[in-house]
Amino acid sequence: MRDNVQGGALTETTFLILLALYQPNHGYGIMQFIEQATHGRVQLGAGTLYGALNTLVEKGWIEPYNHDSEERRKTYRLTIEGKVKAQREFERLKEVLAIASSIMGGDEQ
Amino acid sequence: MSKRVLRYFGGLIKRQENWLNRMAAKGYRLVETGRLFYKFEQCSPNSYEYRVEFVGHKPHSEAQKYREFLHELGYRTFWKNINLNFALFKMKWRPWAQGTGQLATSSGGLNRELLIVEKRQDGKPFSLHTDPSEIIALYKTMRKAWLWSAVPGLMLLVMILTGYIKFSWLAITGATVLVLWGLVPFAYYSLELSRYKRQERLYE
Repeated sequence: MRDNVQGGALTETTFLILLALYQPNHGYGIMQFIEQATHGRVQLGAGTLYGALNTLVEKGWIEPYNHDSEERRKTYRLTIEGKVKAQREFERLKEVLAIASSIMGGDEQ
Repeated sequence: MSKRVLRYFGGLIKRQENWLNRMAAKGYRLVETGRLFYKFEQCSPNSYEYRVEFVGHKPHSEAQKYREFLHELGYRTFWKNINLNFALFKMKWRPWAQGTGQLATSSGGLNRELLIVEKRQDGKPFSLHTDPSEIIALYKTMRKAWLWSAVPGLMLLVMILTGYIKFSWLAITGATVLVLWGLVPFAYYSLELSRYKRQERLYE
């Protein structure tokens, strides 16, 4: 999972994981969220998700969050820095979409 | 009814995976692994699917955490040895591994180089890795590991050919087998890696 550091673009995997963690969630929940939100187009492998979660924790964009001691599964949530990154990606995508719309818009020709 | 099967796949991980999936298709579910055997129990055909992943490059504590994560997701896992590993002093140096994974001990990563992951069939695709850069990195690690495995055989071959060890056809054959032991999987993973890279370029 390589995010484009210079251009600031996140990979689709990173952005979707950040979106999945606006509410605290565990690995299985993140996989389910991504699969449902993309209607099955994106299906993350367990190993890929594991690596991505570790990388995002190291970067400080997400953090472990186990408020319920009964919960055996490890839960994560977005940090403030993670929210900033997600917001920036959202703005970037809107800009790209605006460029595409100005050129391709009204595609019923 | 359980069934014990004697098999050894060495570095050919994909072959091992295909074989486990063929067994599952015939109605045999894996319940135990040993150094040279697999134990199965009968189940409905095609109920389970298997993937085999190389984790020998990770520090054992890290591989253990990964395994726990897979359990959280509802998968069942089994450790499996990749080599027959008759290691001196119950430990082995792995120059190609990460951090503390370089020293594999019998209580750690020695004979636990592979993870067999089982998923109950649900009609959805089953891939442990879906990120191309990650898959390429994994192939490269396996390739490096097998190239290092050829080193002792190569050293032995050089020592025989330079006269440090007395020449005999038996010694030459033994050294060649040792070299091939590492070089065959190395060539296999090199081919797989270039095939995967070509395929990725097609979809870019």
